[in-house]
Amino acid sequence: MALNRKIAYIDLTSGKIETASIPVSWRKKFLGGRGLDAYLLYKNVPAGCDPLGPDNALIISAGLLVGTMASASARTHIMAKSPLTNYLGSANMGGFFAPEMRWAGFDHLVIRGRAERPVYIYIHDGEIEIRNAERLWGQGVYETQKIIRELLGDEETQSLCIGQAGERLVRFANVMTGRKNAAGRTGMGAVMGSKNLKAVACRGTMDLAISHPLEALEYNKKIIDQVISTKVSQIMQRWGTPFIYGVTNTTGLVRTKNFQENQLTNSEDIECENIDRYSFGTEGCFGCQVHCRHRYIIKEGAYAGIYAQGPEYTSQGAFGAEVGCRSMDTVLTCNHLVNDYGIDTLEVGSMMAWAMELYEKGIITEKDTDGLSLEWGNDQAVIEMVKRIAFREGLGDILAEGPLRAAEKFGPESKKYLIQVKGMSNLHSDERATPALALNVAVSSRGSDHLRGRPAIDLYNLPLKVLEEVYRSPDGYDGPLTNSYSEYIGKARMVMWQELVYMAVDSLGICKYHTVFLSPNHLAFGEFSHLVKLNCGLEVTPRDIWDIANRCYTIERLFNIREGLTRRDDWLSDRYFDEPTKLGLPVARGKAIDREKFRALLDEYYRLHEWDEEGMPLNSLSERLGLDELLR
Amino acid sequence: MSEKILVVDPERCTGCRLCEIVCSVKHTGVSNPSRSRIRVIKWENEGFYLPMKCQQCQDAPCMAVCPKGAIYQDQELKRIRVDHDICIGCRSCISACPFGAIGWDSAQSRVFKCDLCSGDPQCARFCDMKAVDYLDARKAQLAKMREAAENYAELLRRHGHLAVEAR
Amino acid sequence: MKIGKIMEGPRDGEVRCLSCFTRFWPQPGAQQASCPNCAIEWRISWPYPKTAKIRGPVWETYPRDLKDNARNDAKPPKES
Repeated sequence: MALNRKIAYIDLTSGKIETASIPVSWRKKFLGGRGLDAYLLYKNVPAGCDPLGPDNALIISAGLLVGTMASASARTHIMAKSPLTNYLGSANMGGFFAPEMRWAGFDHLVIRGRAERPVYIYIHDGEIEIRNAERLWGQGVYETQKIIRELLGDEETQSLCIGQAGERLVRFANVMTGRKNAAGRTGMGAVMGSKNLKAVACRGTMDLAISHPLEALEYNKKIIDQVISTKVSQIMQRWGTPFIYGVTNTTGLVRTKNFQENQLTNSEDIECENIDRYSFGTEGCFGCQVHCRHRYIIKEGAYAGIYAQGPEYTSQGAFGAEVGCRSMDTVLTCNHLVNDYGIDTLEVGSMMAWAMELYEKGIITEKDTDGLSLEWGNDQAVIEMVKRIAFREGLGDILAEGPLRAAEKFGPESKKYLIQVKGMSNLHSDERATPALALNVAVSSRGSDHLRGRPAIDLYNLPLKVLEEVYRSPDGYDGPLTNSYSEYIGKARMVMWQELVYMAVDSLGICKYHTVFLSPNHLAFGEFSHLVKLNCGLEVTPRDIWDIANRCYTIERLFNIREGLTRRDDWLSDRYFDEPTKLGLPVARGKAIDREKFRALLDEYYRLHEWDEEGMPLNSLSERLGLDELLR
Repeated sequence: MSEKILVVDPERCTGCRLCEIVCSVKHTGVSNPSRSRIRVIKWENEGFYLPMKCQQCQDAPCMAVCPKGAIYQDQELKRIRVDHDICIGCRSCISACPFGAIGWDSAQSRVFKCDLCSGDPQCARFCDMKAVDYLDARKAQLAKMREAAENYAELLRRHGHLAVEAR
Repeated sequence: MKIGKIMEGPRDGEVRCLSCFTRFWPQPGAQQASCPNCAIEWRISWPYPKTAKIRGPVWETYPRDLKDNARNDAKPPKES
């Protein structure tokens, strides 16, 4: 059954591999995926370790429902201490790797040490081998996976791997599977590269038993219908996440020219509708009927003719609004490059935009850029810089170190223009008009990030009745809620609730687009409970899942605190407070975050989490969640 | 009842492989693509996906090669079936099938192939894009014809040769 | 590119103004429409024949400045 998959502890220094069963008691405490990863990370990574040293543990996992009759149960989660932030490193991706790993018998891999030469790990039907990867080293993401299939003589092999950026320890290199699935944030690819681990390949033909197969099959149909009946899913099926750009850019919620503006006017070319010119079909991750990414062919420029997948909303910002470019060809080209080099699209875009503002302000000059003109909207320079960052050439070598380390090189003045939290850049969203979204990026457990707790439905001006149905369950929250996104009231609860629902889906291995993220009518704790019961035979109530998610989120918090995190790290760059927005619709114009109100919002957020004023989990919480005993 | 056929349109396939696991769960109670009667064959470097399954051939090689006459065409659904009471498990049919649509189930020690889920094929039921669809045999062809003809109509429309449709 | 099944439902052809959240129905197939409540002009796209979506603003008439544009005096959003 779905509960019999194992953990493998792999030491690349000695080549020793041990496997262990996952006790049912762990399932009841952490489910699996990201939740269990957090626990394993806390236990297996020594405090203060060098993220790029052999002591760091790279944890690769499949969620509890991966491969089962739970729609879009495709997700792989990766954790390690982050070389970008020195705090929690954590990233999640779709594709076909996680189900293949389960069919090969494993749910979690805990990889430590460092191989002397490049290696890859091959997992097949319960067996694990460490193999020579010298033929793969130096290759991009597409080619690496192709060569692995050739080497193994098996087209069904699913691999995750790093590209050239991970090999060069770019601090925001990602881990990739397929053509575009990226465990993108916090530099997990650099951790993999530091271990000389190029790839993990899986091939499995082992049964994953479903506890109540026919009921699970019918329930799966029901939830698929529930998900694809919403308008937002139908638009995602057609155009993917780039549809979001139309809404946010129109409103004035898109970070433009680093952070100087909040809207890229006249940018029709990079709107989602225009992808139709390049796309020949959409692509679904394992078992997913939302199929939100495009299969496209680049039409213009040096990369014309190349087949790639995507782009996501994030790439429209990274290679569009943030850097002032208005060309879909540029977006699609750069999207292909970051995927093939294996580097985080968000961080690349943000680092380039910041460098362009420094260039504009004269803090860096053509001497620093080797003659490249970093002017806003310079498409060729943007394409070139992606390559330089991935390969650590010239200025790219400095930017590859991530925001805070790069700012040390450019001096204190440069730091003022950075948009980062905990040493990680934000995506291209501008949260000055949306306090709830601003709180989310400030407090996220992996640095500035929207996929940890963004209450995106706050932007929809939904009837209060709908918000109450969502945000009061399953623990009976009875505090205030408001449905205007300019408000501060009730937003701490929304963020905290979303943090826990995302923790739950990441632990189950389901995609966020199937959960209450872009629609209030998607899955949440009630459906999760039913799915776990039908597929795994495990009885966990919606409230149990809430408590599990809370336990796992608190462990992530405690990991960060152990690495030195304080309340000061849960805070935004000054520009959010000091520079009101200039563009956008009336609701988003002239807006900045109010320091005092935001401080109060943070206090309220800590209170809801049962953390003290400094953001330290209270003893009563640790006791209730059994953390003292677990983490001792 | 009119005859229905399982039709595949690779241009609609998003490669998600949901058909594979709903098939294996329905027939075996486990999630395991290697026990699915339908498989999505992928050309990952070109982005082309083609679901492959039993074609329910009229002059079926599996039926012809079976030394015991265990394979027959069911009159109601016009599907090719294996009578496991007669089958000796010689696997000749696996070799004979030109599409690779018959597999060997090690767990049950017998061959397996598509049985159209007795008239409600789960692959077609779950496929939202209708890359796999179960259609009336007399209408399936025309549906495809209309889809292809639409390109022609669109061309005329773009050049102003068709009247504007009243909405 | 082939698209999925054609969606039909109670929200056919409906869009929601991004500024004042009023729901309205552009002419079927129309590429532009303005909000009946706040008059902001929108570009419209059609992901499916009967599904409308706001693509973006008509930039020429987009409210430029907080002070000088009457369109900014949109009525407060109605509770839907």
